[in-house]
Amino acid sequence: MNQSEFKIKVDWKGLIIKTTILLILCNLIYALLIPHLSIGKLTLYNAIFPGRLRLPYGDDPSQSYNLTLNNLDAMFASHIIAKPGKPTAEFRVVLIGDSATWGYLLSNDHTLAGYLNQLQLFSSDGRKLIFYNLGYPTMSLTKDLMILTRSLTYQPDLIIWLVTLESFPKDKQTSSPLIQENLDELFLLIKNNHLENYLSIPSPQPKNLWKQTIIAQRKQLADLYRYQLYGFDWAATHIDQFIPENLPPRQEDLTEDLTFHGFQPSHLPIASLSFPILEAGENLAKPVPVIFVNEPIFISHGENSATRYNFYYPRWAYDDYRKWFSDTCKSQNWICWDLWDLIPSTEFTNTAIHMTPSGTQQSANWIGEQLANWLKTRP
Amino acid sequence: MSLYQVLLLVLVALIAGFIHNIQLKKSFLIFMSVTFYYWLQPSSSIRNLDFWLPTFTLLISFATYLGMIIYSREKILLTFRDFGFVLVPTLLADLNRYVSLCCITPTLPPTIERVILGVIITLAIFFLLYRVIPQHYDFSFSLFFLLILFLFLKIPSFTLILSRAFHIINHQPLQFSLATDIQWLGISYIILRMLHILIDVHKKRQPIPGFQDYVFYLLFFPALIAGPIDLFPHFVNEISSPSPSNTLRQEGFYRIIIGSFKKFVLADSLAILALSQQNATQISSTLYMWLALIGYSLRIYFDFSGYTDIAIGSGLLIGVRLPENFSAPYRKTNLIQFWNSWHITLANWFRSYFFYPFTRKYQRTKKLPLWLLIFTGQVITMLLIGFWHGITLNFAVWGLWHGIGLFVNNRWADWKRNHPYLLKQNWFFTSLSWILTFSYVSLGWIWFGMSDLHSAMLVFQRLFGLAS
Repeated sequence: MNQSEFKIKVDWKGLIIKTTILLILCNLIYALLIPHLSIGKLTLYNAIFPGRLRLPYGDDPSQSYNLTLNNLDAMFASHIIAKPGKPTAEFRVVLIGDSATWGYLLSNDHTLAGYLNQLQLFSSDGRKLIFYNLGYPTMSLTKDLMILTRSLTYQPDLIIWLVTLESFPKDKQTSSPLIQENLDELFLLIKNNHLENYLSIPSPQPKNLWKQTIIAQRKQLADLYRYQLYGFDWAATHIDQFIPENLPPRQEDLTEDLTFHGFQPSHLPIASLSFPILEAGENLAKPVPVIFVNEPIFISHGENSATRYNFYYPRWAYDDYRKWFSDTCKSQNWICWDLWDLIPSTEFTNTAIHMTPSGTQQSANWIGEQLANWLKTRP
Repeated sequence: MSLYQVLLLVLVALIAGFIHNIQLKKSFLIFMSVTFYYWLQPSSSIRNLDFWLPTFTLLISFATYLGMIIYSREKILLTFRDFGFVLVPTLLADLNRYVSLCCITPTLPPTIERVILGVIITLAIFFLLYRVIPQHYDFSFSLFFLLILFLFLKIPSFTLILSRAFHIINHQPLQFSLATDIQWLGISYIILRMLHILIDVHKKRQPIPGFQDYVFYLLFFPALIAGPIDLFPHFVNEISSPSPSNTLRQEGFYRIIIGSFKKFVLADSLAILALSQQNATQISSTLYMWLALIGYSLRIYFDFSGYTDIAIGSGLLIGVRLPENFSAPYRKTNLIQFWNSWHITLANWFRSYFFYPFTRKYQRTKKLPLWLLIFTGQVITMLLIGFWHGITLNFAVWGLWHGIGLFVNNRWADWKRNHPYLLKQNWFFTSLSWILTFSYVSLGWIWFGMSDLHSAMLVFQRLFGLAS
């Protein structure tokens, strides 16, 4: 064996003891500080890398250069809306909704926000309308409310909230992973908007110190770190979603099942739908106007299409919902647009709400036209 | 290789280092090396292949060993003990099918009857060969066999044939067969080690090693995945030395920590932004393409040298100093220096077994001009190094790229030596040389990293603003 030329003398016992103490200390300090620190706000986006055009969500990070974080601070910090300084010549419009608004299977140019930006709309005072995509996959109005609340920090001039019946049932409100990972924020949201009678979740328990340590949070920290690195790929490719070439199309032949979230035909009670969440959002946004849009849906012509519109909706339930939607808008004096049957069935992709670029463009053109008319009525 | 696997390897190396009885230490390490070989083998969609590939390696080792005995006509007695350390882990790996205590093989191994039958048939074939062919057998037989095997593993269309054959044997649907189904852990290194011993025994530079030492040398677990390629006499000498001192253990741990940092922090982070087959067509900006290429250059270095550090560190814990494979290659200011400090043991292997014999032979027999001899020798050597990674057009171009680069570098160095007054060494010249060398090597990685020439050309075009 050759003589070692290794020069570093190591006191192993001392090293192990010091390392252990340092590890414990770092974890302890982190655990104690973390509730007061928003580590997610530390970001390379909007500084070294351009901000993202939609909130982070990714099924396959290595192909989409994106990942699902569920950390609202980090999600917003990386979005282009968080870029400091709102230009005076900008009329800021925020789009809120589900995966159809986010643009599932669509590149950023082909999302609703992308097409609306291409329309080059101007407000009556000459400011250019810039649309920000704050849609996020998963169907829940509470999730949308959480995002809407956050979006108010970024000085929107108008909020367009796209909804569909599947986001309304009570059982859909808190199951989203984004909600589950942010229950503290939801609790405050419920409290501040007096939604206790409608949505109830147990009050947040005091934080377990161990769960706040670096060791326990390693997955979340690693995700945040990776997300920053994916900023390079985002900047270099402008890709934030992997779009497979061949996807199974939306279901054309439907089941005979006529129930909707446990409700039997032929009456869907309004109390079962989350209109109070819409109301809370509208109140919270004031004086910023909110426009509610009922999203286009796929209308099947296959088996059982006489009783069902699509995979999600029996006809009776959806028709009732549209009636409630229209009635509530009238009674609350909300601005509501119903686009439910605007788009031909051929323009839907893998689900009853996801559209092709062409379908999305048709929606954008319709919304753009209505918006232009609405803006003319505004001072 | 995961961090968890590294930790287990390090633990076993540490335990081995505390065994003072050399024979016991060797036996323990052979046993563990064979076990790790099964354990680290990547899983495959071909049924039982992750069990059979390591088993084939052991059988090929035995075949080539037998070939050496036949060829040399030496009386070497193989004992049951020789086989024991190889067969027992194999059977243990197979028992994993029945006792799911752990996970020695990534997927379920075949039934014990099939394994015993396979081993018996193979041994019977070897025995028959041993009885029948001695008078006809010569050294080129083993060499030919290994080269054919190498070709099948390195030419994608041949590997696909192999994959299809395995699918047919296993009654699996043929349409799912892919060349990438066959990922034979460390076989490129193992074949080079086998060739080294075969050639040296043939040239009578060394006697036939003991079977245990032979298998141990081929499968020494720290160097299984990414080398380095030690020479057998040095390896045997190292393994026969006493337990490592505390200083060596400290150095071992230091190397393992540095290697793990390089691999799991630096290389794995760089992997996210480095040039890849996927992003090569997606990046349209020249600046980002250059950054991705630099990312790739750094990634490949940190990944490979990180593994080497872990291997050398683990070796030191056992008491074996494996040869260095890297010596700050990206700090070098010319290509010759780069190739003296990048994958050193591989470059040395090809120099020893191809370049020097080739140039010596042609210097003696044919009166070729020196420049032509250097050109031919360097280009063919680098082509062979390229083919060692895979027999594809891209690796061929990569080899040519470096062969031509080395030749130009050689001529330039020669010219500089003859005109020392024309170019003075100063910081500007050194910096320029470094930039040129790093850029040349990095651009060369494009051929290496892309799967086809079209993608590589596209990257070149984007780098120089020639494609939109």
